[in-house]
Amino acid sequence: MNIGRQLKEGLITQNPVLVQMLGLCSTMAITTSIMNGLGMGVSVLIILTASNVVISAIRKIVPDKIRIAMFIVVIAGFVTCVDLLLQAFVPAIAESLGVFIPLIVVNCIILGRAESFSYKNGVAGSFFDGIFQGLGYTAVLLAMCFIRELLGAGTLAGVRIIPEQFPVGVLTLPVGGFLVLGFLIAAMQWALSKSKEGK
Amino acid sequence: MSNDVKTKEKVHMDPQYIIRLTVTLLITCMVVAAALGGVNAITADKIAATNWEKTVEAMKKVAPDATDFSDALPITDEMTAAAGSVTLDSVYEALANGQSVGYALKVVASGSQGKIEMMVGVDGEGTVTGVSIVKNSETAGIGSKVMNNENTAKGVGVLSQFEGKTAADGVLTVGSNVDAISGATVSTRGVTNGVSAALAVAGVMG
Amino acid sequence: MTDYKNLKLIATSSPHIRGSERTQTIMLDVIIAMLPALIFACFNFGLRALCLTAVSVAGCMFFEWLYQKVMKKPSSVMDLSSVVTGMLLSFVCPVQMPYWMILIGDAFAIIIVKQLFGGIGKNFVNPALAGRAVLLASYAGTMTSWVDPAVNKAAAFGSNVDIVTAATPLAYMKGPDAAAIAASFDQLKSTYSVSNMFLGQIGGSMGEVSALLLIVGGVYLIWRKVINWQTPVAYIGTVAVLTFLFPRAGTGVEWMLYSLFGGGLMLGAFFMATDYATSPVTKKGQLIFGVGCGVFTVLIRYFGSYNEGVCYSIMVMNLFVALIDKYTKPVRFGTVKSDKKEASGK
Repeated sequence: MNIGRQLKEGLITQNPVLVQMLGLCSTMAITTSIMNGLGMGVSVLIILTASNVVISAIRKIVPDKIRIAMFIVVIAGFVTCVDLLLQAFVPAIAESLGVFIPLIVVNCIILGRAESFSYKNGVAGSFFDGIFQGLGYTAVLLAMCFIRELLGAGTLAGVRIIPEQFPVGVLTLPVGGFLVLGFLIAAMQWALSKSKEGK
Repeated sequence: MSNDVKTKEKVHMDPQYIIRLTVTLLITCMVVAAALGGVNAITADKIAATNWEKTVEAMKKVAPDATDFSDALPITDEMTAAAGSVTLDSVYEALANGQSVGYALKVVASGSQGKIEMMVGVDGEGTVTGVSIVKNSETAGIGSKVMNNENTAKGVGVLSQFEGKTAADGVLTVGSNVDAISGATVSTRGVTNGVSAALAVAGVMG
Repeated sequence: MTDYKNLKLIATSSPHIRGSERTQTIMLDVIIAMLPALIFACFNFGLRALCLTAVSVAGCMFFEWLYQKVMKKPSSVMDLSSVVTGMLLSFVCPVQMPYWMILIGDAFAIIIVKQLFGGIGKNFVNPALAGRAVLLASYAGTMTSWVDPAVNKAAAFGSNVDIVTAATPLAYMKGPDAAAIAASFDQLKSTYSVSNMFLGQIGGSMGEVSALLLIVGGVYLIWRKVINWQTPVAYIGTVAVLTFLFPRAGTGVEWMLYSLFGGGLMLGAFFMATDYATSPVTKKGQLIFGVGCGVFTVLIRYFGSYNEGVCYSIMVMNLFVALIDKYTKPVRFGTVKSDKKEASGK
């Protein structure tokens, strides 16, 4: 497996959120501040990488019929670990992400990568796939957090940039999440088709 | 088509295969459960301590005289009934030098946009000693004024006005003995319902 | 001899005979129809009403020009549609709002709602209403405090923080239970008479207060054949019938009149719900659209958490336009309806 190509796929051409359209629910729900986005992105990155490696390692002994059940058990195990660790050591982030950490279990990115990549590829490839897909997810989260926190709340990572009366609060509401995500997807598709034309 | 599936099913239904599936799944679950048990052992105390700290912080705000708090008291059916439509989450006894000085009650009332989770302090005589909001999702700019204890038209913080209210004041109602923030009547009413419920529960507890 | 090589044959679709109507003339008529209400707003709330409208119009034109400049598209500023959007947006805002705030609404309405979806005729919700919805969600406090026109006027420049505000009639018509609504409705009746309501000497959004002048403008638009009567009549009629049949206080007639003249119903019915791009094409469709708007308006006013439902009800119905158009498409001459055809084929 070509690591460079995997990197490009994870971040751009096969970006989990903007191109594969996976994990949209958590993307819209938690991207109201940079810290949230970072916490969620890193959590997903760790869980994705770990579950990818484990699933790839045990792929030969997993019977085909119960593979989804096995995937979920492995993923749920890692998610619960991360949830407990967050609650114990960074309670502030655990509280602001709330139910969305446990919900990573059913995040399509993780199950999707398990099914479509690590179940068919070696441990090393799966490891890098986890890292790069996780990075792609985190990058989109951070982009959305940046737009929504800066314009919607007027702060960046909690530091006030725009005076309190000006920010467009609607961006921090769910409807703002839909809008920003929609326009990011549109921009990504536009850029992809532009670069295709260029070739 | 349907015949195909049937023959396939038959092949896979042989007992040895089923046992293999079961055992693999069982082993995986056991391994994962063991790992989780390990992580839980490391983190359980720490999580409990953090949560308790947070609760104590919220309780200190509403019961300024207290120096210590008891563990959560058991909630009886009578108390739940007294709270009425408001959900009673938990009750703690406020202690000063080992003596009871009242209760801190965590209640959940309905606001205009969702649930308002709040802590209400009630002293031994059944007087409200403080109200603080733990969690809410009220509208920014309107309902949030109530949550942030901004002043009503009378110049008193909308949450602070509950301090000193007792069951003797009768039913707490926005407009008669409770002032609302202009434009945020529904949020104020939610908080009022929560305080009334807390007073009622404290009354039942004696 | 004709130069056949360079001869340009331009094929255009029918109709080949063109009327004198242009987007520009239609928009000009809409602007003229809104002028009486604008003049009244200045009389009612002070000169700031005019300044706010001017800022909003300039903002909309600027953002339209800017987007088309940046995206290298032909400019459509001169078709006046952005002027109409700017005027409508200022009409549905409280007069004392800061100027920068309406510019944010303008930018959202023009760039995001109108231009990013393809420009004039391709937006799927009314840009002015979408702009207002965004402002309302973002600056709920400012967007729901209304100058009391009987007490003071808004200053054209500077801060209006200390201005005396009044609740809109609709706020009086809402309450937790029947008794509370009855009490506040009595208060409303003693504060504003029906003629106050009809003429517009009440608190509210800048351009929505005068039912009389909005009806005058609406009748002008119908007379000029810019809009059909179907949408506004169906809309206002539905609200009238529902509020007459289900009054929450007072008599049916009283409750109906206060419901019709308070809030943005007239402005919405004549100027917002009739927007070409976001309303059905057929007359039957426009009737359905108007009834839908009316039902949603009453439902939001009765059961929603906001006092006013006109803005959201029109936006919700905007989303149904494609569906309404699909089911009210007239049958082509000489053919039968598709479901009938299927039935006869069996």
